[in-house]
Amino acid sequence: MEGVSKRGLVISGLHAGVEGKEEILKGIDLTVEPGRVAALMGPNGSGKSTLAFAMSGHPNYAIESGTVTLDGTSLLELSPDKRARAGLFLSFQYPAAIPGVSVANFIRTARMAVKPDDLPPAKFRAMIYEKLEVLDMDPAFLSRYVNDGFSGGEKKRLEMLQLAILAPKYAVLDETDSGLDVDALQAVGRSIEALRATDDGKDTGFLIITHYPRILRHVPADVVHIMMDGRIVKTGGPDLAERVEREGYDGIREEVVGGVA
Amino acid sequence: MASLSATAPGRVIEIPPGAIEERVLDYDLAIEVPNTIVNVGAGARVTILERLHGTTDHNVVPRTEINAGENAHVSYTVLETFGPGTVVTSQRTSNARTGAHVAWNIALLGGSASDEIVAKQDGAGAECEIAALFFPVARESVQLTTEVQHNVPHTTSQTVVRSIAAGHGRGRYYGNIRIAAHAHGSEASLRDDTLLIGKDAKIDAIPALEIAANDVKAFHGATVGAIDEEHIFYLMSRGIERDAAEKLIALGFFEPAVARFPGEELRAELRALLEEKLVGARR
Repeated sequence: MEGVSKRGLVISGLHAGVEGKEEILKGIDLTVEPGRVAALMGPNGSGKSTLAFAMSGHPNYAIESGTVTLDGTSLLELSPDKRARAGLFLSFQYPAAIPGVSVANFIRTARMAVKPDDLPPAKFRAMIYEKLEVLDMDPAFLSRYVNDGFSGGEKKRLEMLQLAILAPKYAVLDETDSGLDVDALQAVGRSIEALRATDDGKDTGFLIITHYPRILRHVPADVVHIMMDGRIVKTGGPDLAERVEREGYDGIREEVVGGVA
Repeated sequence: MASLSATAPGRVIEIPPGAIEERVLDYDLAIEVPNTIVNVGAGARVTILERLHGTTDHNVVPRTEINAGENAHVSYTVLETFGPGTVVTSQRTSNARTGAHVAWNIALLGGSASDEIVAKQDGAGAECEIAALFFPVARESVQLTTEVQHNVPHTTSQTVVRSIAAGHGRGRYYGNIRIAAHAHGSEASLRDDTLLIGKDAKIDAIPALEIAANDVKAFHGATVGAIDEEHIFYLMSRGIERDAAEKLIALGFFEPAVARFPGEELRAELRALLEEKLVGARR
């Protein structure tokens, strides 16, 4: 067994599902290394989002067995806020709208929770404005209510703004590219690149969950995992994503089913 | 318990036609039971803030009467912060003449207050806006009644009510809209939303729309429920503790009503009072 102090976001033998229903994740082993980008690809319904929610501690998901550790800290016993303070960030596919809570208030509260020795207000403001610019977002965004009446693209940009400001150790991006036009996708790519160029973000490890390979053109993956029916069925380099583009998931499914049998 | 009405002559505030004024009325129940008459001249604009506080063991009945002249603009705000155990039944009426605009902003934040607002739209083109919030905690019991009477054609009204109950807090809201038979072309909307924190909190909302005219627009919408766990999870996933997440959401819930109160300074004071009350409710 690996030492518990191993760096990385390490998922081992994870079995999980929706509370009270049948198992969805049937033994996941996957490691996201610091400063690296791992892609998790798979057809709809393969369990990708379940993995994201189970790792983050969503109350509707139940862990049956297995472990998830973040640089040696075991996450599964922790409440979702403690997981975030340990350095985990989940970019939601469908983030919640919170009427009456301004983006500025939310982001400031979150930043102070995650990094308590916080910047003075003037520096914090400068940092937000810089990130807004990278994301091509109007500062008027800050006084709007969190995700309230936001378009799909605006919601994803706000997720990326939070990612940039919180600079987590590990970021799980759940279908961040879905529903995005080309401009928004480029903005997402720029924002992640900008984060990785900072001292705060250069060691951030990414797990990019996606159905389509196109986001990986903006954020190139070092390693690609294919998930089907709750299992990682294949792992490879960036060329594996290209193969998905060419052959679809059916080609890989045939190969894998053949291999298992 | 003796019921003590406002029998004193009360304060009469005269705003001359065309004047622009701001007033603050400060009432300590231990000293004075409010009995306020505001006469607003044609075309005048007045913003009045009534601070209503103190403690009494009598059941007192404060009164407010607003008479808004033609095309007058009146904004009347009540910031009520009674001490615990205080039982108060306030009665407030407004009479709006042709083209007059009356805004009632009511925050009931302490004791067991009952507040009744009757807004009479007596002149064509009269507009009424009511924003109200109340927040019973511990064993407080709050009742609010709003009644907008559309008595003549082409009058409009908008009522927005937000309430939260926590602990053993109890609330009741009666939201009445009456559109008279000849008040055609009138528009009325009534929106009340309620959040319950904890299993022992309770608020009943009882809307009543009496619409006797045909050619009118009337809207009513209401929600009641607990804080959405998905919202809490989203905030917690950003490192915010559960208590702090609930606080953000609850204070945000009041915002659509708070945002209608006049002036950033007053809104900030109101938010601080709500936060203080929320923090107190959890102890």
